This record gives sequence, structure tokens and C-alpha cells, in this order.
Amino acid sequence: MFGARTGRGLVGLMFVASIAAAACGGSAAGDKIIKIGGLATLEGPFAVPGQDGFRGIEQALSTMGKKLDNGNWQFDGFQVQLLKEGSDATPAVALEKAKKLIEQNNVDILIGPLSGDEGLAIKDYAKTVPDKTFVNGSSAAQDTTFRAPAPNFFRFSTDGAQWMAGLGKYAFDKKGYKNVALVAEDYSFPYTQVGGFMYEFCAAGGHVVQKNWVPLGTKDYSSVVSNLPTSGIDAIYVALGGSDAVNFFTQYNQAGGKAKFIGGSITVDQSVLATKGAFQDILAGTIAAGPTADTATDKAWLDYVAEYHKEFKDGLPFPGLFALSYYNETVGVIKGLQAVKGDLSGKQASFMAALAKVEFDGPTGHVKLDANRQAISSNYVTEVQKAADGSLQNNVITKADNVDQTLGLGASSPYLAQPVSRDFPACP
Amino acid sequence: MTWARSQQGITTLAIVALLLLYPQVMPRFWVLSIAANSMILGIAALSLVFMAGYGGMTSLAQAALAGFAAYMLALLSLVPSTNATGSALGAGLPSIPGALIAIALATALGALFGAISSRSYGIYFLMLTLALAVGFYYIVLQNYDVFGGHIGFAGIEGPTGQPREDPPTFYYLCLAVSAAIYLGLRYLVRSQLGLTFQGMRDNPRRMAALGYRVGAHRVALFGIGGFVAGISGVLGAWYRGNISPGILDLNRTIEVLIVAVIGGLGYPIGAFVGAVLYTLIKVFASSVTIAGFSFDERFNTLVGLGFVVIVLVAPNGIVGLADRAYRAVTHRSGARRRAVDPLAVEAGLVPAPVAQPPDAPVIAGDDVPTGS
Amino acid sequence: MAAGAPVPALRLQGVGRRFGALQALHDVSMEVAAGERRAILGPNGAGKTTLFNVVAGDFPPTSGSVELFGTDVTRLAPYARTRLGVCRTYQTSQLFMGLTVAQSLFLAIRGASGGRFSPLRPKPDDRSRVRAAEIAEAVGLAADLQTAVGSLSHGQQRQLEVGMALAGSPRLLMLDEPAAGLSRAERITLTDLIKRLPRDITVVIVEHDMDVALAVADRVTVMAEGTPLVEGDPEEIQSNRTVQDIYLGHAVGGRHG
Ligand SMILES: Nc1ncnc2c1ncn2[C@@H]1O[C@H](COP(=O)(O)OP(=O)(O)OP(=O)(O)O)[C@@H](O)[C@H]1O
Ligand SMILES: [Mg+2]
Repeated sequence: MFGARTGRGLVGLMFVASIAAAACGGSAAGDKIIKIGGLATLEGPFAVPGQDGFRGIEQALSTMGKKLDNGNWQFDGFQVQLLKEGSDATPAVALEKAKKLIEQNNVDILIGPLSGDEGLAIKDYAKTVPDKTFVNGSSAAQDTTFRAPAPNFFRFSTDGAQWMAGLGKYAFDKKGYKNVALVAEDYSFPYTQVGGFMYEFCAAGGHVVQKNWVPLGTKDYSSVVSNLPTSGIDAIYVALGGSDAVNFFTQYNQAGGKAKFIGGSITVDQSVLATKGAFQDILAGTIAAGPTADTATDKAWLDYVAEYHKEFKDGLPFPGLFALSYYNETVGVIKGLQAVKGDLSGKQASFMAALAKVEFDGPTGHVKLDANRQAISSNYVTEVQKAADGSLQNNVITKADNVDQTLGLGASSPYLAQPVSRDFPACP
Repeated sequence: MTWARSQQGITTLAIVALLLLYPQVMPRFWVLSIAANSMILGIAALSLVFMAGYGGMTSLAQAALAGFAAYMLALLSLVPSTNATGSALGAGLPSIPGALIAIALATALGALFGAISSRSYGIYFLMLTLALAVGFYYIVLQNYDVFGGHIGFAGIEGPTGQPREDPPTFYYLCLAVSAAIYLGLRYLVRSQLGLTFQGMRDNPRRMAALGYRVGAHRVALFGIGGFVAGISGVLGAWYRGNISPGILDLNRTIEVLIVAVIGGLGYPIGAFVGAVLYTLIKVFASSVTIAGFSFDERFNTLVGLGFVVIVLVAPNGIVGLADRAYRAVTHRSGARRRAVDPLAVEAGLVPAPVAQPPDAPVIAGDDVPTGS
Repeated sequence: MAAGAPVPALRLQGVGRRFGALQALHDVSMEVAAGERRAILGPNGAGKTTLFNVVAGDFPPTSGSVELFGTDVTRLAPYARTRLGVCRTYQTSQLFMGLTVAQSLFLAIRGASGGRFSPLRPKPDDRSRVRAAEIAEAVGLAADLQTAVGSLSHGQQRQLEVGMALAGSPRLLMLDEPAAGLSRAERITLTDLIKRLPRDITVVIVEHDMDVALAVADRVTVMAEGTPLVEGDPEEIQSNRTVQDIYLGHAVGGRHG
């Protein structure tokens, strides 16, 4: 009944196979080839952004180096080999894949992951392998670098709170919003976005009078809509993504809601604006903020977009914030490698020191790192406006430069005394 | 005969020695990410193999039961913290008592699932257990106050501490538990209870006519399934250190099913063989290049293809295939008849072992023949 | 029931069973006395198997009541009836194809005698295992104790059917066409076996093979179209015209004829 005998045979075979595989995994690290592991989400709801993230890595390598026939990239004095792994946006799988790249493929540098909870898990893992360098992908949780950072974890992209820079002030000063209710998905990324918005908004004197947290993927917003105050608020801050946002806007519109909106970084992207529906009317005037803006006109950005389209015929209409984040991280890595001429000896100590000092002008502005190896960079505030042809467009209103992780409040600000969460910060 | 026996004993000894030596010679990745991970997955798959292969109950709720145990462990063993990063919940029990209670609760939940589904067979049983699993996933995902919502809980530590700090000890823990469960179930198969389950698998109607309360035995079997899955869940939580709804979503359910099927339903050792194979494929699929086509961004395609090939080539799984090859080589006649893969029967892929026409047509109608 | 009169093993009162539009059993009332050997005859589709199913509890009757040894069991689950001493065979074998003969008989014995949830393996000298071997001997399967049920011949499977019913220590044994598919020699063995059963076992047998049925029966009930037509001893039945018309005539050209 058990096939115990054959089972035993198989177990033995597996040993031989696994020892052989382990043995050949460790070879091939030539002195001039630097192995970079790329980790992004290739399964599940974030598969498309994940592919765009890899485009960001490859674009940076191809722009700064020369692609070789063997698939590597040639730089002055060293070659870069890229090994890709995909996760499914869960921390558990991201961690498994990172371990595989580091411990089995022996990559020198890991670039990734894509999403916030994955990033937190990778940071914790980084602490256990101090002689390897970890560079973020596009994950944007605050505490990946802000609290208990890992000395070998670098982030050349901004976090979800930084992506809100300029928005709270603009809403309070220019739009005159004093009291705001919020509707947001119940997980770490929206917490961070809400936090970033509230740092500025609360500090300016605004009030967030009500918070509605909904599970990711909520389809029915009727109870949320009826729970929202009908008077006494000037706007609703909405941090929902993709179809969640469309569902909410539709149902809010059907219920006759009239409030103005403030959006998170992925709330009113092109996909939502392009979705046909009666809710379109109420979206005009919605303000939002993020690290990229499709309609930006800076030369560096236009060059970057043109290169992206040249390199990737199957790319998206615009490289999104995922492509940009991975691009900036990779640029940072290459600049660091160039500074040490590809020399990773001494447990990568001199490389990491050089990496911490890297500064460059990216497609959206200047990028440099703070003491926690976290990017200080630029951010856009946008507003949804009706174009001449009647379609909706996200237009750039302002751009803030040198945005740090505290949004200028300073690390000792009471607003940063605790990690962002459902209940913190608060200014009812 | 004695020669064959001693040869068998030597093989067993060699394998035990290899298993014990393995973490001493292999790198951390191979000890934890491949071996420990496979054992944890294998235990979950074993719970399904046992239920399906020996009781005819192909439960899709095993990943959910494992996840339930993991959550119970977190709630029982975490120390509540006032710090906003930590959980406000937790009973602060030591890891072992916490684990025992968590496993007991998973056993109870399994029994409850069994009671709910005790009258369902075949595809209906499959769908009902799937519904229970998915329902439980959404309860966990959407219930912030009890289960921590999308984020779940972090900071779970087992009796051996952080696995990555001491991989061999954690490996030995997994190995000891796997071996105990495997041998325990092997023993159970030939016990009164185990025979009862197999009778139920082959012919529940006859079992009832022999005086067995089939429903109660199905509850018991589901309870055992919950017990074994719960152990996997507890080890998994210790291994990862954190839990989130991702550990019991549909992907994990499918993963457990795939492992059980490629190993071979009906072969308990197959659960572990399947788990090792699955883990290896999953980890290394992205490094595979076939005819110039790299699977690095399409590793799931490769996993899927591998699964299809195995199911086609070896409908009784890898162990089934090896078993057949072994018999062919040693000219052993197929005197011992093995039950056909019940999952395939339930899914209507293959006919039941012996097509047994019912006493009479089950569906009545005017056209039912009434005479010869 | 008059006080002091012996309690019948089986008593049916006005039993009916409907499947949708089909009335498979219609107003069946009959008594089988304790220790009696009763044959039930009737053409295909007469409702004989349905009657067994109602008595064994596979499904409840749609009307009427069933009493076993004086207890009303109309709504009782099958396993509970088995524990009252009802054991049966099936017209189409209902066996455990993945188990061995010994295991099947062991399950049958333990089903009626308890210890059903024991997680322990029975020892080689376990009473139930010894008894299983005895029963295998009695039904001619002594050499096949360790054979998988799925690889038994058809005739052997039919014998195992009977063996499993006997293993439950029946007080009421119901045999549904036990001789169907058996060779001549096997039929004779089977007939002998039934004849030799102790008299404290009540036997109800459905059998198309007249040689077997009439050889073992004390009394015969003839059914047609869901209802008992005639009851009497074997000689009466054989000479009864109605019976010859509705049944025996058919049987000549019938499936075993
Ligand atoms: N479960 C059921 N569902 C629908 N109809 C049924 C069912 N069981 C029996 N019948 C019908 O009831 C009638 C009586 O069937 P039954 O099997 O009792 O006959 P039988 O006397 O045993 O015949 P045979 O000699 O062929 O075995 C038949 O017409 C049969 O089709
Ligand atoms: Mg019949």
C-alpha cells in the first residue's frame, strides 16, 4: 500500500540530485562578473507592474552600459549579469525568492522587491546577510528604512509617505479644505499614504474627521458611502487602487455624493480616468500626488520616456512609478559600482560606503540618500482637469524637490513618533 | 528473502543516515528553503493524501486548516504589545503549549468541517471543502481585529528560535515531526480505524450496512486531517516567523493539491517526494532555459507544464510510477490491487475501480423499466 | 400482537415505497417468524430488492411501518438496524475493492461487535481475526484470505458477499440473489451452507434459482408489481396456477433458465 520500498529509492535519488544541484549552484562567479538579482512581482494582481519594474532595471543597464551577446552588460572594468526572480506579492514568497538568489545563485546585489510588505520582509532578511547589498525595487513602506533600518539595505526610490509630499499643504492652503473624511484600503501601503498626506495636512491645521478602512478588493461600498458625513466635510481622501477606486467612485456618485476628492498615488491613475462611467463628472478637480506624472514636461523625463519606448516595443503607454523606481535603484547601483570599479572585496564594505554617497539626476529630479540610505528626491502634485476634447487628464500643479522621509517635519516631529497605522497619525 | 530483507534494512539505514547528515553538510538555503520547506509542505500534502487515498475524501480545506493552526498559534503565543508595530492580541503562552492547543483547535475545526460535509461525496465534497476554505480565507483577510487583516502577525518564534540562526536544529525538528506523522499514519492504516476509513472509501453504503456510522467516521477522518494539517501550519509559522492571509489563500490550496497529486495520492511517502519535487521545480524553474526560451519571467508556466506532464505520464504520481517500474523489473505480479486514484474518479477522469451498476436506477421516472 | 405469542423477526405493515411516479412497493404486509427460512420470489422489477432496502434502512418507506424483533425501526439508520442483528447481501456485490478478504471480513465482524474507532492494530490472535478465518473457510475462501477483493473471481466475490453478511452475527439474514453468477458446484455448496445455518438465524432469501430457493425455504412469498400475491409452503407455491402464470413461466426463459 505504501510503496515504501520505491519511496525509499526515490528519497535516495533526491539526495544525489540535490547535492549535485547545490554543488553546481555555487560556481561561475568570475572575478569580473557582478551578479545582480532582480526581484519583482510576476504573479497575481501586480504582475503587470512587476514586468514594468524589470524594464526599469534593463533600461538603466542598457543606457549606462553596453549589452553583450552573452546577455550581460559591459561596463568599464566589469560585467553585470542579471538574474530575475518573480514573487506573487506575498512576503513569504518574496523571501523564498530572495533567499534563492542570495544563497543559491550567489548574487552580489539584490534589487527588489516591488510591494511594501515584501520590502519589510526583505529588510529583515538583509540583516542576516550583512555581506550582501540589498537595494529596494519599488516597495514603499516607510519602515523599510525609517525605523530599525538594515545597514546593507539601500533605497533610491521614495516611500509611500514621500509620494504624498506637497498634497496636504496644497489641499489646505490652495484648495481651502479644512475637514476631510477618508476611505482607504486596510493594509500597509494605504496607511503610509494616508500618513504622508496627514503629516502636512494636520500640521497645517486641517482635520481628518473620519477614517473608513475597507478590505482590499471590496466591491460593495454602500455601507461606507452611507457612513460618510453629508455635511461638515470639504473633501474625501480616497486611497484605493484600480477597480476598488472605480467601484467606490461609481457607488458614491450613484448615491448622489457631491464632495470633492483627494487621491492617493494610485487612486486616479490613467486607468481609472479612462474608465467610462457617470462618475467621471465628479472626478474633475481631484488632486493627488506621486513620484511620477505622465504629463510632466522636464527634459530628463521626456528623454527617459523616449528611451523606454525605444527599448521596449511592448511597454506600457507611459513607464509608471514601478519602472521609474527600479530604474532609479539600478542607476544608483551602477554608479556605486563605477565608483569602486566593480570591486566588491572586503565583504562589499567599500562598495556600500560608495553606494551611500551616490547622487544623480534622475528622470524626475535629483536623487540622493539620507543617513538611513533612503532617497531624498522629487514629488509631483497633480490635478484632474478636463481637456479640450472632454477627456480627463492629470496635470502637474507643483513639483517639490528634495523631499525627505519626514516631509520636512524632522524626525523628532510628533507626527513621526509612531509608525503609520490605522489610528496614527490622528487629527480629528 | 532474508537477503532481500537485510538489503532493505541497509537501504533504510543509509537513508536515515543521509537525512541526519544532510543539514551538517548542506548550505543554509538547502537546509531551510528546500528541505525544511518541503517537509512542511509535505506534511500538509500528507494530510490530503491520507484523507483522499485512505478515506476517499479529497479535501480542499487542508491549506486553510494549516493556516488556521498558524493563526491560532500566533494568537496563543504572541506577547501582546502596546507598541503600535506589534499585535495588541496574544495570550503570551510558551511556544510548545501554544502549538499543542493550536493543533487541537485545528483538529476540532477539521472535525467541524467533517460534520458539515459528512453527507457530501465526490465533486460535491470537493466544492464544499473548497467553499469552506475560501470562506475562511476571507474571514481572516477581512477581520482586522482578530486576525490582523491583510498584514497578519509577525514575530512568531518556535522552540528552536529563529530557524535561520540555527538551521540544523529546525531541520531536525521538522524531520522528527515528519517521521512521527508518517510512521503514525502508516501504523494507523492497518488499524481498525484505518481499515474503517478504507472501507468507507471503497463503499460507504456497505460500511453503513455493516454497522458503522459512516458520518461519524468521516468526522473522525477529517479531524485527523485537521490534526496533521495543523502540525504543518504550526511548523510553517515557526519557519516563516510571520503569517498573513497569503498562507491560506487559493494558491496554497492548489499547491497542496498539486504536491499530493504529483507525489501520488494513495502513497503517503508520495506527499514528501512530491513536496521536494515541487519545491525544486518552483525554486529552479526561473533558471531553466529550454531551446533558448528562458522561463525567468514565466516560471509558473514551467511549473504548470511539469504538473501536466507528470499527471499524464504518471496518473498515480511519481511514486506510483516508480512502484510500477519496480514491479515490472522484479517481475512481481500485480496481485495486490491498488485502488484507482480517487481524485480522478471523483473528477470523472477515470471510471471507478469496478463499474458497479446500482441495484436499480437511482433516478425514477416513467420510463424506468419495471420488468424483464 | 397477542401476549405470549412469539415475537416475529420481521413484521411489515402496509409498507409502500414510491420513486417519483413509480410505486415500487405497494401495501406490503407480512410477517417472518423467528427462525423461519423465507424465500421471496417474483419477476424482475417486482420490488424484492426495494423491500430489502426498506428493511435494511437504505431508505425509509413512504408509507407503513417496519418492525424488527418487536422494535419499530421505520425511521432507524442502517447502522442501528445492523446492531439489532440485520445483515444482508446485495444483488450487485457491494465490496471493498481495495481491501483483502481477511480485512473485509474483519470489518464486517467488528462492525457488529464494537471497537469501531480503535486506532490499534489487531493482534494476529485477535478474536475477530480468528473468526474472519473461520468464516472464509465456511464460504470457501480459506485459500484467499490475503487476496485483494478486486482480484477475486466473480463467484468468489459472491461468496464473500455471503461471508460478510454472516460475519455480522445476524439474527435476521437477508440474501439477495446469492446464487446469481455461481457455478453449479458453487450453488450446491451455497445451498448446503444456508441449510446448515443454526436455527436461531432467520433467513429471508430472494432467489431466481428455484433449486436453491425451494431447497432452503420453509415458506415462500411471491411478489409482483410491488405487492405480495401468494404465500405458502414450497409445494403449494409450485402447484399454484397464478404463480405459474405470473412467475414460473417467465423464469423458464428468464435470466437463469
Ligand atoms: N433507487 C431507486 N430509484 C428509482 N427507482 C427504483 C429504485 N430502486 C428500485 N427502483 C425501481 O423499483 C422497481 C422495483 O425494483 P427492484 O430492484 O426492487 O426489483 P426486483 O424485484 O429486485 O427485481 P430484480 O429481480 O430485477 O432484481 C423497479 O422498477 C426499479 O426500477
Ligand atoms: Mg432485485
